[in-house]
Amino acid sequence: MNAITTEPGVIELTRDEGRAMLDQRVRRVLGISLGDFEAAYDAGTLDMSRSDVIGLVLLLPFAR
Amino acid sequence: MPGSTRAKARDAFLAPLKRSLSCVTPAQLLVSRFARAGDEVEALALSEDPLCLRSARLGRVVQLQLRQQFRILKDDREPRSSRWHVSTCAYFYQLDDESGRELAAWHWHPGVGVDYPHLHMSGGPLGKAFHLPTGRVSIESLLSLLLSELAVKPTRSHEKDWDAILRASERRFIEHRRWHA
Repeated sequence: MNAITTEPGVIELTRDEGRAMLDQRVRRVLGISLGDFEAAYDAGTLDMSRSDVIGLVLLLPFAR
Repeated sequence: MPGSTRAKARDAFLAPLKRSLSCVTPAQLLVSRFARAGDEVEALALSEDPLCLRSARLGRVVQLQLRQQFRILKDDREPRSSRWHVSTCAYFYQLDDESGRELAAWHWHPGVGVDYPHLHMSGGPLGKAFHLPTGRVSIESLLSLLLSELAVKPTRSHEKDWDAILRASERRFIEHRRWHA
């Protein structure tokens, strides 16, 4: 993790750190792994009417 | 929030945002990898998710989820000192009660379902399935709601200046945004 701004407390995650963070959140909310979540996203099979799913989709840049 | 370089524009966007968040929580602001080229989308979120806050007004804990996507763009028509700027592309703010029941959620996620910025309000005859149109909502205005309306206690270091910090940050946001509410 790197502090990246003139203001303390802004942390840039590496791809691996981002994937670990998102994997934890996806498992907590949906009970599946990040890999399964990404596969469903890429296949267009996620239920995008669910707000918790949309909230996780917005975090995908952490993993890619 | 313009800058002369991609990195400076990013800093000019993130630093005041973190300063505003520090009025409410010492939690860190997590940011995805720096998009050093192109118009790749970046994301930000809180290190504590959900973030638990005590609302004196409600007499209970509320839980905040906060995510945003942004990209850094170059505009060659602007002077060199302000050629790069950050543009928000999506957001997701949600307030739940302590049991996780949704109280209100502000969403803007173009390309995914409803395109316009909207509010979901739980309770009442409409229920949370409806997408109530809004202008685009800044993080600062959400923090202001928490502190002023829900009477969440500000952090000790910002007990006296949180309002000024949020106003200054919001003002910069309004001055430099490329869209209008």
